[in-house]
Amino acid sequence: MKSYESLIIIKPNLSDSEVTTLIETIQGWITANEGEIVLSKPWGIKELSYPISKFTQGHYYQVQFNATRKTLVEMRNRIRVTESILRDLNVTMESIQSKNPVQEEVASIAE
Amino acid sequence: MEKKKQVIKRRTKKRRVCAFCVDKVDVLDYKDLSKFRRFVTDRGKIVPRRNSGICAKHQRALAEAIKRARFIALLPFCVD
Ligand SMILES: [Zn+2]
Repeated sequence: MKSYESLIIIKPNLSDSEVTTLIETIQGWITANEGEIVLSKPWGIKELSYPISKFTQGHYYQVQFNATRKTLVEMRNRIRVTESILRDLNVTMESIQSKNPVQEEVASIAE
Repeated sequence: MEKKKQVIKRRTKKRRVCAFCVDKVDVLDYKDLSKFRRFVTDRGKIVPRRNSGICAKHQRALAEAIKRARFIALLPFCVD
């Protein structure tokens, strides 16, 4: 088991309910294989720094979870075949979170 | 004989300390844009170490964070 974070960009032309459904589906991929969700945070629609597949905006969805390597690979395979997902970035928590007890609050850029 | 006074201009070396070392940063979060905005030029390039005074260790971490942010479209690859 390892801690991971995924940041996913969903196509902007999806309705709010469609986005919610997709987020639930993504969560299902993680929990189906004994994964455990630590944080689930939709950022809402955000302007992209450059167009991806001709889209200039996207719904950002941030999720942190504990899972095995296999679960992560499986999740990425599913993401790849999901047409509504424009891009995904998966990193280990240890590469972004300080091990020090004094944890700085990351200034939220979701707003 | 008149002695020519030679004026040698020496570039004064500024002692610079790595901004991240000062803050005792050990990991850089790619989402924390405010922390590394000033190390990206107007054109979206990563500021070289010789200009920013960042240490080698933190420049590597910085480059990684910027590249991650670029990939997920939080930062542009280039601005023209
Ligand atoms: Zn440093």
